[in-house]
Amino acid sequence: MMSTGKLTRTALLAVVLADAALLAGRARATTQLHAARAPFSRALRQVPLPTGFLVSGGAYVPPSRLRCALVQYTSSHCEYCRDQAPLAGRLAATLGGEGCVLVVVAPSPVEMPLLGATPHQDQIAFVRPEWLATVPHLQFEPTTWIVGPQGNVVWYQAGELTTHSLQEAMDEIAAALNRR
Amino acid sequence: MVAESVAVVVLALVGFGLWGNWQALRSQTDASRQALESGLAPAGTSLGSLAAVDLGGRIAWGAPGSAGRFVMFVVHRATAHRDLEFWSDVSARLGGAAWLKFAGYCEEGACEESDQAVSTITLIQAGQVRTTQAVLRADRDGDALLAAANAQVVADIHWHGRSTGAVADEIVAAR
Repeated sequence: MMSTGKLTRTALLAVVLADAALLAGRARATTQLHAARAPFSRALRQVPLPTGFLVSGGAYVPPSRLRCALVQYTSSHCEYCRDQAPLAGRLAATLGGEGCVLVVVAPSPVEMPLLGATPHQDQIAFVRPEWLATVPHLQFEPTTWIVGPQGNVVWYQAGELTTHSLQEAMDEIAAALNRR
Repeated sequence: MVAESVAVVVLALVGFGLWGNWQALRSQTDASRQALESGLAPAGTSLGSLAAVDLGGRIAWGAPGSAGRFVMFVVHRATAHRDLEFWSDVSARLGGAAWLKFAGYCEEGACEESDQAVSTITLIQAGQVRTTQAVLRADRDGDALLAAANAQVVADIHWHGRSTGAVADEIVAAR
């Protein structure tokens, strides 16, 4: 018959192994959750540019052929978005210099971040339902993505931009343009 | 010996915590995948405002009255004529109530020929992101959205497969 001491040690070993397995499972689940919340990271995904109406009132139809595009879903009512305006502006200026189309979409016209707008930025206040039905759902402001020459998303960020993510964005678009 | 027993209990408790955490992550992953596959906003999305661009390119409901209610639904390309006929009938049953406005969010190409035909329904070609996401989300469940002029969603009105009389009654009841 097994002694109490041996039984305890066996139980200890069992819970240690079980905890290790659970830790591994949790780590895998965390990775899967991050992947699920990062729809744009499926880089093959073709995401069309928005269609709708500009805050100035005119209809917006994206160019049929484009080198690249920066799309920013952002709001003047969001603190994150206001704080990161200088970084977002830098990204827009750099990509604008690369010949990319610059598009800003706001949740509503009154949330359009007009102040400090980068030249040649198209600010879209109203979107067509068929466009919204084709993009991953826009829940977080800011969400930023870059469309490459083949129309696929080469980089995206849901949430705050950082200098690191900015560099990553610039590297990705540079690589996409050079691969062209 | 005592230390080993305590360790077993503590590690077992840690294990329970990890298990719960793992399950929560899995259900969040499932929910995220479902939401992303549809590309639509989840229920409970708060709407910013109901202003939208109608088929003529004009802003509809830039400054709506405070007492009104808005019924918003999707007009599908494949069933546009039937959809608009349905909602015209609902509108007629409600006697063209001044407190109620109808907005059909048109799929591309769904409404172009109907602009003049349906005077009681405002046909929308572009809307605000949150509002349009909510209308699309409701449509996925076969519903229209009933919203107050302050952009708060009052109710989802199930209309696919129902009679116009039943839908009209539900709108009045949800008012």
